[in-house]
Amino acid sequence: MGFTKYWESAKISFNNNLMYKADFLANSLFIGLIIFIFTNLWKVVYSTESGIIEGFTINMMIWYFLLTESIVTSPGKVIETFGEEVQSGEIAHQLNKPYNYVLFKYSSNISETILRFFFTFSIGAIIALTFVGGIIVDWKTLPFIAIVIFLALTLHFCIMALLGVFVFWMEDAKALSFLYNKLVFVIGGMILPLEIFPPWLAKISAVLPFSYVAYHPAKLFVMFSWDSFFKVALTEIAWIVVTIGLIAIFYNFFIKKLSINGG
Amino acid sequence: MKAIIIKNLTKEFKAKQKEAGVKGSIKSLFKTNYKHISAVNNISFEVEKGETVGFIGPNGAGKSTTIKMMTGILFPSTGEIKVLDYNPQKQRKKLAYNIGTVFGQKPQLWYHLPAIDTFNLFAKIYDLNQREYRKRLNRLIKVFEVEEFLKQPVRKLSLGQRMRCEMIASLLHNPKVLFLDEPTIGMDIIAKKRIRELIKILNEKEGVTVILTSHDLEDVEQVCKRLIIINKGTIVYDGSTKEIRNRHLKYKVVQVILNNKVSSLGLGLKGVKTVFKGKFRHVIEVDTSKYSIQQVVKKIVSKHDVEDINILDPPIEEVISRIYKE
Amino acid sequence: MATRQNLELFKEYIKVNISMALEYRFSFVVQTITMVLNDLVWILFWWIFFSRFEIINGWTMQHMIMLYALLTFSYGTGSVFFGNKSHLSSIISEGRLDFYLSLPKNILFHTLISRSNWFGLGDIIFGLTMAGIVLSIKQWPLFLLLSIISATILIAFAILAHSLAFFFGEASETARSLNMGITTLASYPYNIFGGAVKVIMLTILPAGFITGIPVELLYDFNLIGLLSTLGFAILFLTISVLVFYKGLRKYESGSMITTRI
Repeated sequence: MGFTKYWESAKISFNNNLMYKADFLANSLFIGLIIFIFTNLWKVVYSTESGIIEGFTINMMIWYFLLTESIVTSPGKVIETFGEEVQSGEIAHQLNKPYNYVLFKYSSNISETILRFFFTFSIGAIIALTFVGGIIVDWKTLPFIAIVIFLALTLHFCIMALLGVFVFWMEDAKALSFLYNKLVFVIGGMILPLEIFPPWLAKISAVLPFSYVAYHPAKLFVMFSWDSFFKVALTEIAWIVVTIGLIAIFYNFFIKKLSINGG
Repeated sequence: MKAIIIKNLTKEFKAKQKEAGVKGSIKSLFKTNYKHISAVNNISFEVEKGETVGFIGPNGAGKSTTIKMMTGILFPSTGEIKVLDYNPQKQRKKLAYNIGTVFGQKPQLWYHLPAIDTFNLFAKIYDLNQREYRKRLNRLIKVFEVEEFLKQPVRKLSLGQRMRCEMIASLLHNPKVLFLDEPTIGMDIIAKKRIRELIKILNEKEGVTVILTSHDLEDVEQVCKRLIIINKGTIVYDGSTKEIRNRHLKYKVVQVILNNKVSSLGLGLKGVKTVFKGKFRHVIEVDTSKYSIQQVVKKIVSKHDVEDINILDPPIEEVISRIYKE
Repeated sequence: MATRQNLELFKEYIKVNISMALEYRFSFVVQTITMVLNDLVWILFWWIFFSRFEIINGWTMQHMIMLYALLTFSYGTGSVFFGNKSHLSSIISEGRLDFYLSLPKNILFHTLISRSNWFGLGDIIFGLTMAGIVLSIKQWPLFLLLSIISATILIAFAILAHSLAFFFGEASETARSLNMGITTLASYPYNIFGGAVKVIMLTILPAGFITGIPVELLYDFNLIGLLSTLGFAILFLTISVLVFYKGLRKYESGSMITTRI
């Protein structure tokens, strides 16, 4: 019975988001633009190399990027939403309700996230096909890739939720959101797979959770291996658990502070 | 020179019409349907320098549209407007140097900064000579009595204090005509009275022509000698304020809520008209030229077990429809 | 004289906006630092990229730093001194132009300068620092001149994008996307693009004149390049101003009235 309220909120959120057509349009145009830019960039780079760079063909490079971009942009502004609710005092309202606040946020967010992911990826796929063509993916591996993507989206949300909890203390959600974004962008391997990095940086980035949001799932997509699948999936789960743990700790800590201060 | 000359002024809008729903949105992509709205329909009037004119009318009657055309924000469709001999459409800047505007609902003061900062800004906007500006500012500060909170951020001020500062901002450049739109909105009665006094001083001591719109009839009654009522884009009354009061604003509406059901208040007073007969709630109209409110309320309370009594001005729509009927 | 008075007005607005920024100095500092970090992250990205690939079509890491110096400095300057350029469309849609219409100043100028986005200071500092790293003393005058030109084109583009609000009633999202689009285009090496795209980037999406050609001019100066960039900026600005005033006439004739009420 406890589960249905989360399911219901997921459905409502889904319906609400079909309204944001302009938003989707702007997003898809933007994805088109950056794929276009990166196609041009990689074409120039590949013209001087042998056709494969660190195991990636140009097509793989572009589809890699498409996937990271889709994952990273799908959940929307989680941290900002948390931030707004804290600042407007709406949060006090929500805390009175009989459900776990973070879980509630997750369920209402995940449906729109998945919807946006499909939309972004589909549009981007069409554009990528037009500019460079396709890549070879074994269709049997797709469900497993999907699992890893879902885990990546969840981890992405959890990290943002954790930062969102910090808004209780910091008040400026935008800065946090921004910083996290940049971390995923660079050391998460959003544009450049870690193979391109100088080795010392690649090693560090590979173990941090940011690369499990972008690099690892995307690499699995363009270069699937069972070995990687298990490693990545398990590590993602591990990071999700760690993050949830941290959320629980800090959430309770801040709630206590909040109620002491009278909210 | 007259302050304002308006001849056969008309303003029509083309409003896009769209059907509701998805079908409507798609239809509107192919063919746009326009509805012609006549906001202001062939109005004419003149205002002498130094007059105080109240502009009233229900929402959507054309007041704001007319004022916008007088201040150069909106262009007329046809007709002639001259404000201080300037054509607001063609000589917007020159006119702007000579008029002031105060909008109760659209403040001009920077919210997070002290009013004095906005004043200094306006001095630059109007290219005021610094020495003259200082002299004038000090005078206005004295008259409006804002000295003590001049350096506080505007967001910390009460509505009345804020409005006084707003008015100073609109007067720094010595405008000959002042347009005020809902200047007392949201204020308590004491603050309202003060603002009204200040407007009157401006008019009497400095000869500023005042054009005032307000939904509070008392504002208009207290401040304006002349009243123009606009309804559905046409002028339905243009005359002295006193006359309107004597003719139409001499009644009040009393709403009574009783503790037990009664079919009628049964006051038996001529000049008291029943407007609404509920079981617990009764609404009557009292002709205040025949009975004072005090008399009527006394009678009600002596006859019934009263839970609550409200005494209201007749809604302006009532007043206007009555004028219209005459 | 009108120019001196406008300059006085400009200075006064700077004063007022600084007061505002100081009122909320924590937020101001945070936002400024955020801007600088953003710029740094991109430099880091390019450093990783060029560590591996060294030269692409003649562009090196140095070129990228130069590009960022120019782009951030121009963009920051535009944000600080003409802060309302990013808010024009909502000012138009919400009827807030009425305020400016009742005052005796040039509408576009007044609207643009009445707000400063002071966290643009972060971009300015970053841009100047990067310029300090890659420029030789001789190149500074050209750099400053090109920055003014780039800033002009960026502002003109914003005016054009936001003026769509006059014609469509609402344009904030579109304008924002267009502006993001052009700065994105302008932050990549110009010569990775092919001929047809370059044409677009030298006309309706003038990223080529914002960073592309200017960066190349700084390394390989030629007078024609400079003159055409300057000429384009003037032309583009003129067009944007004309479009704005055309839209303003529409606004004043009241065809937007349904969205305004």
